[in-house]
Amino acid sequence: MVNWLSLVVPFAYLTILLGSLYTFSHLYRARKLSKAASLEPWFPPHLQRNIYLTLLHLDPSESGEGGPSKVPDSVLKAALLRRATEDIHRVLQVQNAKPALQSLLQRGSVGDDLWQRFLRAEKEIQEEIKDVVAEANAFAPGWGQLIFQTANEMAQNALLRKRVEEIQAQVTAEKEWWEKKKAGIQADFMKELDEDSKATQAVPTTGRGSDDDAVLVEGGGPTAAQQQGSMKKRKKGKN
Amino acid sequence: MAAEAETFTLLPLHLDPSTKAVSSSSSTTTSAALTTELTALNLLHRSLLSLDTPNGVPPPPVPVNPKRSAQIGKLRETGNTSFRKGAHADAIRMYSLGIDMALGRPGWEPSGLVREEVSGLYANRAQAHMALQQWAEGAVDAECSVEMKRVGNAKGWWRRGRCLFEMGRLEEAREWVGQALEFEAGEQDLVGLMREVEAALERRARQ
Amino acid sequence: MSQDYNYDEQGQFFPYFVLTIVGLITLPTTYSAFRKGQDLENTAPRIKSDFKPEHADLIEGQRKKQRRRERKLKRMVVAAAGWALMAGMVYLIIVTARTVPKIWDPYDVLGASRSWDEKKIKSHYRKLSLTHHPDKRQPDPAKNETADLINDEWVEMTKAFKTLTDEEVRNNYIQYGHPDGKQSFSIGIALPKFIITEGNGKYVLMLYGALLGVILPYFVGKWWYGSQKVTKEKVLVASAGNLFREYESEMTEGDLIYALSSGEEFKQILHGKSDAGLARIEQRILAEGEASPLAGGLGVKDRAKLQELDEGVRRKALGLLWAYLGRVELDDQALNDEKYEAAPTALALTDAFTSMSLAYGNTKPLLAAYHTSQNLIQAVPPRASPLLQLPRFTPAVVRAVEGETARTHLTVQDFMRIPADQRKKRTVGPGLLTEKEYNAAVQIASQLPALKVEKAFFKVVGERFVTPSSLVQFVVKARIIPPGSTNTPAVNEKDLEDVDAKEGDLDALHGRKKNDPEDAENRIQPPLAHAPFFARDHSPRWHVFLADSKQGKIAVPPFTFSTFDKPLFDEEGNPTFNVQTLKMQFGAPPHAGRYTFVMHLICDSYIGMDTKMEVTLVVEEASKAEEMEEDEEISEPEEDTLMGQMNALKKDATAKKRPRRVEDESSGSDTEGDEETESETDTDTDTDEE
Repeated sequence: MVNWLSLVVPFAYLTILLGSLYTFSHLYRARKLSKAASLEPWFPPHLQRNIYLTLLHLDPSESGEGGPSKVPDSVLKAALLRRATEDIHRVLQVQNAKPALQSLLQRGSVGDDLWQRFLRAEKEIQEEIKDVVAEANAFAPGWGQLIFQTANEMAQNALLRKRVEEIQAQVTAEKEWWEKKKAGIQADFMKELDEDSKATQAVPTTGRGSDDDAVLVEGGGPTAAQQQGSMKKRKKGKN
Repeated sequence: MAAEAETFTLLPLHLDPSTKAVSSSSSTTTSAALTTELTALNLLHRSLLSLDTPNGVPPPPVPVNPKRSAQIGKLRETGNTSFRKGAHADAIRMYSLGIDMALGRPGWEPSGLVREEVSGLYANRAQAHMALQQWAEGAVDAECSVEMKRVGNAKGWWRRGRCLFEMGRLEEAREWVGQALEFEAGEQDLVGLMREVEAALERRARQ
Repeated sequence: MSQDYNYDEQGQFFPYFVLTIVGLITLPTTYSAFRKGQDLENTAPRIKSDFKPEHADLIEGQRKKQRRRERKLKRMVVAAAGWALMAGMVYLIIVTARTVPKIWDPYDVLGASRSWDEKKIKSHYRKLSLTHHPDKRQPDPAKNETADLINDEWVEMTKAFKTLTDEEVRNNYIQYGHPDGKQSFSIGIALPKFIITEGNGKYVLMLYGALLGVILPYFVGKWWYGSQKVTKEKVLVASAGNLFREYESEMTEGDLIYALSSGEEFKQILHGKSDAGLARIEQRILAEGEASPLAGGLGVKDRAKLQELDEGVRRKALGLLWAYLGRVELDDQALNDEKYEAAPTALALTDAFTSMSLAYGNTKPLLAAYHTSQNLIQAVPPRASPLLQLPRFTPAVVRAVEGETARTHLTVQDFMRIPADQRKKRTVGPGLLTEKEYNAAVQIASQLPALKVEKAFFKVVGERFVTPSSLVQFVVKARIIPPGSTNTPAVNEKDLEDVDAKEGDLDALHGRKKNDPEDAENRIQPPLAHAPFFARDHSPRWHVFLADSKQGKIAVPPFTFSTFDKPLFDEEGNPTFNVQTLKMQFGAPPHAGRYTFVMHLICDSYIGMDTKMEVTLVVEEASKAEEMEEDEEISEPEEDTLMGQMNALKKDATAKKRPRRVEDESSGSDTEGDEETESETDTDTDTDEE
């Protein structure tokens, strides 16, 4: 007679073991998924994309006033270009960040969460680019190949204009400062002139090169006239 | 992920039926970012409308529309002529017009070209300012020129250095010219200016 | 042949077991709890200063708080408990009498001597049988004897006798230690018996279950997730993530401070009280400042960024950081306290940011990080005057010293170079400093360790030239010259050479020499940073890195030096002007050519003591270098080789003809014309002290 009870025990053990393992892995994966989904997105909300899609879905009846208020293609194209320009910024950021982030992750300077967030952002931006290319081709055949070239130039142009503006914005402050300083120098100069005219002429006035002066002083204490002469001679010699 | 690609945040937008300008329909909840973005969008829209391409999309960056380039070139030539004649104020005006025109190129035209044009024009304007002893303006223009084109722009580097030197900003001049020499090693003008700056600094230290 | 497990019923071995286990835990814990921290901060000397900033009590409070945190109270409790337990065990061991089982010895049983032969033993046995045989012996109640006992004794004696006389029994004895042959052997387990007695079994099982199933996973998990919570740089992982996302390749110091405010650590400091005092902080830091448009030292962009933030912890943290940097009084004990607490946190975050900018490899953010570290330690806003590092120097004093229209700031070195009388005249006055305060400031200034580079060159150990892909050493020879030092001695030329170890001295070549100056024991520490506002002790560190200035990229990542090979100051605190050697190694480029780098030498604690200098690395083709070496052995190099021309140039420049070990060198000449002009100088180099 088979001892059923002694057979049941190992089977029950196995069932419980496998069951608990399965439950654990299931829970673990579910938790990880939900955690990954709850991770903060890498990029802030894509404003340009939202505008474009809102315009696309703008219902003529809602905009009121009746009439043919369907959003014209030209506006949509402009909105799509703006969207592509923002995408360029994001693509560049993702490209630059990837190697740096990889090495930091290896060294333990950043956490795994950040890497997950980054991977998600990378995937999203790829989807986004495909989407923009498809939309562009819908407006004008072949535009999909061009739109990112155009967007790239637009991004670069915007950047350089911003730099020029920033630098040119300093002009007024710089000018003010220089006027102030010039006034200060002139005042000093006038004062010096005053003092000079009051003082006796015996003091040799300092000219240009300090080396020249040193030579002059060393040359003994001749009169002012002689000094003038020697100065002239020197100049001739130089030329 | 595919589902996400289809979702977006609906924004309270409004399209003016006559001007086709996009604006935010709720004035209270509009963020500053949205307002600036919409301004940029409307601006871009207007420049798109003036396009004469058949399908209404911007042309590829190259080839460039030669009309504008020619105009800018002409303005620069006029400026140069005035400068040579000694009419520095006229020259500055011409260069300024040229700068505005170059910066006014539509965004999809090649940025490298804009840099090249703007850099040259700012360098020339700086020279004109220097001729009028307007060192502050000259310094800023030369800095712009260098910012647009760092390598192969010894003139731009030198002009700002000179302006700083003339204003007595010797430490700044030394740093600037030192930086210039990193890009344009061995450029005689820059080396000479550096020597002058050093000498002036030494003189000042001795006083 | 049964096997017996012999539990420790008398509690004989159990204390030994516990003693060993507890000792294994307690001894290392005690060591780590009482060992004095080996951090630089605990062993370095200090700069003498009696300057007390306004809220010295708050700052000192913060420092004390940190010291308490470092005191490892938990470890001390564990160690004390461990020692108590060990003492108890030792007591148990001493008290418990040891019952060592006697080894069965037939001679002993018979009372015979080992020297006796068989005959004598037999006669002795016969004699014993007369007295000890149970038939001949009556139990003696007085001696507590029974018939059984007597019987047993006689059996033992017979056994012993047989062992010594009978061949077979004797063999048994020799082989198994017992005349009856193999005995059962026992294994002792140093556990008290109560553990395995019937009724207690389940409790023991539960204990094991708890140990393996709950406590072990708990501690492993805690360790794992604990170590996951902070990064290698000891900042929270979340903060590191935020910082990384804030990174931009064109960051300024202001941008970095904005980025630092994203640290999660500030949430702990502010205890979530984000709104308390936010309005007051902003009102104070955005008020008009003495020297800057805004009191906090913010730029226009920085203000815009601050105001764009949502109200919350981050905005308050940013406000506090600016308040700290601008030394803005917040008129609120709690806010001021938070202000001083924010700075060390920000410094830790700056460290984390440094490693990120290294991963990106751009020069600008790295410089911003180092400068921010200086700013945080000295409580000086970005772009403000380095003179604010001196005690009691306010923006007003700085302005008086620098002049109204000054565009650039004077460094402390510049300030101390001004002739003494003029310097004093500019600094002392009504609304400025008193004479005593001025003297105190000058006193501090002349103790700051400003490192001045005397020479910097590349070399390969044991070679004359740098060949492609070789391991290059970048050697910086520098001296600590405190600002305002007069009579600085000229540099001894020999100190500037970096002599290779003698050939054949392999140990030295591989850096294994006994008295290697890089030996950690003999390194000399600079004094702690003079940072009265910074609520931590900080030992200054010097970072040296090479950058490619055209591309704005880091060419050789920073090497950090916190100690030197020779004393900086003598016993009286006067500078020794010893030439210090800083070395860093890296792989040479794989192709021959001239490579120009910009060397940056930056101290992380003091503002305005950075050195920027151009250095040129000449990499020679391996074959060419060999050729030249051969040539040189015979005669001076020909003028028509590149190296020959270079040599000729150098000889002209320096009028020296001693053989050179290192050919590719470029050393700095200080453009400000200090005393030491005798360094061998390439004409295209320049030092730029910022």
